[in-house]
Amino acid sequence: MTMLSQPVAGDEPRNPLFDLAFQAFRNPSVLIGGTIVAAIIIMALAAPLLGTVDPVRIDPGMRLKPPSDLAWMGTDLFGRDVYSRIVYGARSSLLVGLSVAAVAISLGVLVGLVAGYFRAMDIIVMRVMDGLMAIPTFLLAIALVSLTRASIGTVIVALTIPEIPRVVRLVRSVVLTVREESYVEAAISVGTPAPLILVRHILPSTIAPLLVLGTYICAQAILIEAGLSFLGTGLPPEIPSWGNMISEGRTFFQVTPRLVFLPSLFLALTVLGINLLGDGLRDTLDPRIAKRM
Amino acid sequence: MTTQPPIVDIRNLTVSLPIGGDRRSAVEEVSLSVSKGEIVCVVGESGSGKSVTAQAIMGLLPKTFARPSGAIMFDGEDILHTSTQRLRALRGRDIGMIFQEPMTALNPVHTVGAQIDEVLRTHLSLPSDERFDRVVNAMEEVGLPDPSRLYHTFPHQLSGGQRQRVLIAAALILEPRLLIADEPTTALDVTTQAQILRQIRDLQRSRGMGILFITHDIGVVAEIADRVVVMKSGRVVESGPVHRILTRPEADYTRMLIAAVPTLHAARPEEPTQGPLALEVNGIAKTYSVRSTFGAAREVVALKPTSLTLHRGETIGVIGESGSGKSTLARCITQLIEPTAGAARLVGEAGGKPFRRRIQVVFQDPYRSLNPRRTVGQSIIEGPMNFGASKADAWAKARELMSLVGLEPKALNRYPHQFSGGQRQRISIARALAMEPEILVADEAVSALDVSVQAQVLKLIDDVQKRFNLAILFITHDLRVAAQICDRILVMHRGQLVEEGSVRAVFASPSHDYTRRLLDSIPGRQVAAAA
Repeated sequence: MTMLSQPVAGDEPRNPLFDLAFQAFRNPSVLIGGTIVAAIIIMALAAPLLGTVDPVRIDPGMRLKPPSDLAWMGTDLFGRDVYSRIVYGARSSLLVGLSVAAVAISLGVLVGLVAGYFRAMDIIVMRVMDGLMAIPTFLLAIALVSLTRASIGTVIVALTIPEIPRVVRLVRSVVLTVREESYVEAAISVGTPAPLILVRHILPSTIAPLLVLGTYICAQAILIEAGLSFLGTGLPPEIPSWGNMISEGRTFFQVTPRLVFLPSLFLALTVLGINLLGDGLRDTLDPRIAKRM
Repeated sequence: MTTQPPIVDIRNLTVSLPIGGDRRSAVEEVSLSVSKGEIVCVVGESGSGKSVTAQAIMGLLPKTFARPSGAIMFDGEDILHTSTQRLRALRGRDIGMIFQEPMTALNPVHTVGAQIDEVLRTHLSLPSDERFDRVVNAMEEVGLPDPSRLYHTFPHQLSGGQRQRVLIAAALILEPRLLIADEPTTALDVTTQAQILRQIRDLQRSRGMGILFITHDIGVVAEIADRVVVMKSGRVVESGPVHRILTRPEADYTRMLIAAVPTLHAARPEEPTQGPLALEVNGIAKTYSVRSTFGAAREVVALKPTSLTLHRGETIGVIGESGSGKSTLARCITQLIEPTAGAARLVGEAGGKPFRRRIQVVFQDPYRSLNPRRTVGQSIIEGPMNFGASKADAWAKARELMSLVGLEPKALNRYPHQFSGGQRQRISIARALAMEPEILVADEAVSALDVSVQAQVLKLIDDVQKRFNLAILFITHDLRVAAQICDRILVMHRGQLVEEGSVRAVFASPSHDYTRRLLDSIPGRQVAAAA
């Protein structure tokens, strides 16, 4: 045997995923969106440390007070501190957004992998998904809330169900492409069992597009939750949430517009941040995945 | 040899690569010229800068490249430093171009006639019936059958060879003085390639235009060139008349290129010493049924019932063009797809070894057969670990195999994109060998590689066959490669086995008409015969 040959490029083992992550952080959308989202998350987690008072404590003597040293964003109809309610409201919004994204993606990945890889399952699974997709989110939420009682769990379930088919479709389309790659055939021919092929060779290709889809689902869930709460079919009124605050502030909009504007501002900022993050990730990870959604 | 003034004269062309590339410039100090009525072949392996040279003439260099230096004189006008408008006027009218991939060069939603017509509409103002006549004439000239009907067809309704003819018609309709052909026959089957090459040659003769023909295939050079320019790593290594270059090359690199072209001489002895029977394929067949939502199922026969036997230590070549069913045969045998009828049986003492350990596959595309997200080590140990090997044992084995296939064992923790095509194919071979198989199926395993690399990988396959007494089923479209490595060959045509025999017998006296046509179509066979 003659001299052994060296790899042609690079001295270090370089995982292509790390390169991508590095590129993503140099994208301005990712930077700005990421900063906004990080700030809101920190705000939600550190709520008790940010000089807040109990957001549900009612003080009839402090009704509709303008901003002051005691309550620097003023108080609402029941004398509750608006600043504290906004900070704690971030918890509800993020909890709903992240849970919906997490649950929809986990279930969607599972179903999508099976539908894409085992062709016999495909027709049945996809018809069920078409059915789910036809359910209007608002009607489902209203129905669920009137069947059970309003709670965060009900809202999450109602928002998750119509999102699952979107995840399934995306995952299935990735699986259909990747399963034709010859490295998947190579894995089959060295005897790798199907579940391992799915996890080892196909699942990693879905991560980038799912990251992007996840941000959109999260942003949409936050918006719809606010909408449901505004209509009174979302979170119960005792939980501070931006949607509830806007709904309650509506009656006194002429007198104290800040009761509507302040929570709206935070809602818009959060959704904008998440969407910016998603757009930036999409552009750096793979410009083509935008077409598949 | 012509003594006419050159149509295009490239002087000291240098195109710098963006910073961070693997070398400073794509082409460096390249000078070459094409005169009226001659075909100049630029030959070189991948990365030699031959396509960049062609793109520079057309002004079609990718935007990431810096402005080239040097001069490209077209009829006494420096087109390297001319305006975009002027270049646009030259392209199509005075310089025609044809590309490698005829499907992607045509727009799928316009009829082929309209696409040829577009050249006329851009450069001339003629009434539409006159344009129609000219398009039909041009299509007739490149040998397209029934041009006034084909005018209204879409690209996907034509064969690969017909599509390339459409592109040639479009490139030549304005009678350019220079035609640039960038690997125009590489994506085509060998019999189609022979027809297209003859067509280009005839058109060039009758029109007296100059052609700059870019190719990686010395056989094609021998077929078509008047003069040859050999390029390597962006520089001209050698240039001269075709006869001199092919018979008395001066540069070592040219000699190596010519020597690496497989000849048609059977490399193996007529009567090989046969080992025990390893594989018995009995009437294996594959039919696909295409079912539309409402309507009856339509059957497509990919492989008609085929039988073969393969012994240890023996290599059988399965030869055929695209659509011949050769890959379907390989995939049926390796149980990657379910055959509709018949079966492949592994013969010999199994010793309890499961099917997947006894037969292994090396795939065609070295860029797609390794998972880009896993280190090559992980890819190699995957198989043994599936069958219960401990991780330490599998790694030790992988190290051993890496040196066996000629790679540094330390490179096991690198990712596939850090290796060259030839190196990746070595890794794929190591992955197959890790299973300690008795049978190796190589599906076009060297087709995507440069000739010099191809020769090395063929030698490696030969070595490991001797070392492990492997039975090899070698699928290829290239008769020259098959002659190098096979004991027997099977010729397939339209899903059917049409001829079978030893390499010598089949090449010396082909009995089937199709085999004769295949043999006649091999580019540069006279040179190969003389060598």
